[in-house]
Amino acid sequence: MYILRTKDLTKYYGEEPILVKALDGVTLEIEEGTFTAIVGTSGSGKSTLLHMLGGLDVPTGGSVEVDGQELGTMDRGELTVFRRRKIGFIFQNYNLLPNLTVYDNIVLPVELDGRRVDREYLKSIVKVLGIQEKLKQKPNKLSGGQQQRVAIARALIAKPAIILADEPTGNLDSHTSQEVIGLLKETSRNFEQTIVMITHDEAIAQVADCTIRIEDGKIVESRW
Amino acid sequence: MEISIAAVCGLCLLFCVGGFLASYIYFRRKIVDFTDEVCESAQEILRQSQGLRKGSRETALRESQGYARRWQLKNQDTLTSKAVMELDKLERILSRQAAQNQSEKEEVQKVVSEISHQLKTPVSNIRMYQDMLDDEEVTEEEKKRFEKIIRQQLDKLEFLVESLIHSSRLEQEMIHLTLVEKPIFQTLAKAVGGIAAAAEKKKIELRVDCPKSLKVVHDVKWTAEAVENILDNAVKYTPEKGEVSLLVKEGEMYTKIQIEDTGKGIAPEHYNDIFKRFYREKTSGQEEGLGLGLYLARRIISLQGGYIMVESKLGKGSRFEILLPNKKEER
Repeated sequence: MYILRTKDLTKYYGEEPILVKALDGVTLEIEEGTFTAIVGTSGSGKSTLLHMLGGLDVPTGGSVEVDGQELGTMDRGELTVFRRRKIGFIFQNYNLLPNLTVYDNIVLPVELDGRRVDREYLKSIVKVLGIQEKLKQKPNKLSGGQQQRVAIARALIAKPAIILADEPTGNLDSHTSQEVIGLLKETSRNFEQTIVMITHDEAIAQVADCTIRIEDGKIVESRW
Repeated sequence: MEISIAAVCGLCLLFCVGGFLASYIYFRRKIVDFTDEVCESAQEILRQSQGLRKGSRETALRESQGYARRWQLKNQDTLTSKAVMELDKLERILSRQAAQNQSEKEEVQKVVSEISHQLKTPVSNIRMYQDMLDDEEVTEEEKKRFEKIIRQQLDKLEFLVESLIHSSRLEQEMIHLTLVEKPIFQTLAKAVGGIAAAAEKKKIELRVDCPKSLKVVHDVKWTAEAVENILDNAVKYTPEKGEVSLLVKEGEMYTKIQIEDTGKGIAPEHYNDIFKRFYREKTSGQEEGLGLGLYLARRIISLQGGYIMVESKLGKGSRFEILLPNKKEER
């Protein structure tokens, strides 16, 4: 079952003769519950692709469908609500709110939506991520790896249809990167969560269930 | 004057009661509408789920009658929208479980087909040599040779069948992993013991760097097997006088077991292939093996919540990293 699909997705900037094709006809399908890595060098279009998948940017052409709903047919208000409920994000620089505790950072997306936090689920998430002792602390007391684990918990708690991770290990040393990648894989497996990660690191990408290689705005390889 | 006061009080009372009744009717109407919307959506989801058995989820979604109405209800900042989207999530989870069951069935069929493919060769060899033995014109010397070959093929068949049963038990998770907190050094010693003779024969230097007191929660028997499988490959594909080293490092969330060799290496495009069932590189040639070792190793480590990574340079060597989660022993 596909939770995410794109069809002939394009993103062009500028006009001829100076036309930049950031994405040039990307068609892909991602199965639910899988951990997918989109690998590409700087300038390959992977960040642009992630922004399209998350509804953070509007494509020039083609379509993006998340959980059976096409993002292009929604107005801004609907897209905001959709993103809040259906899509989780993990960023390279964690983006935790420094004045909130770890616990408050994690439950923020759910509370913003006016819903109640699933306490049992929260308990199991923090246990898997090894941050149960840190809940009352502020982010500045945590290491980079620990902060990223808090960010992962925040993305998981709302049980989104997909989690998009933008170079989640970009700011971490190789040892911590391995730990974070292992945890992403484990949470994908344990909580049956679909995770799509973009990275330039081939070694990290092998841990994913599926690797999609992107070059010059086009998909060049898709491997299981 | 008194009548006026009574009238005013009466009117006030009437307004209060009237107001209360009107509010009651209004809010009751709202709750009934909300409940109706949610129930209708639930029924629609059920219809859609039943329609799934005929076609894809996407087709069922589009063809469902209430689709347009439910679309209007989605992605709004309203209570109804929240409830409908939660129901949608529930339907998605249930549909996925159904799809998973289906793909598990297909996976079992695939395994059966792969197994029969592997068994075909020794079985047809045995038949062929048996047929030749039945030939009256065959000499005593030839008979002895054919019998020897049949025995070799039977040994191979036995090895294949045992390996396949072993692998399928792990596959079906019939093996219960006993996770205990024990020194990882002892587990690795077991694994190294299994390949020491082969390494010595090829004059390969074996180095182990592991703190003796480091305890990890793991299944000793199966983890030793996983490590031995990787070591076995390392020794097999490292030339004479090469090196194989084992290094253990404790991290915050994982303990890493690193196995490095100076062997022929693995091309990056095959990093994931080597862990697939029955995969053997074209250049493995005469080396004995079924192509299950790394597949099993990955299964074993994965069942313990860990994972294996590989990095390699063709012609220089490979580094396998097993990451086992640091967890508390479950009592």
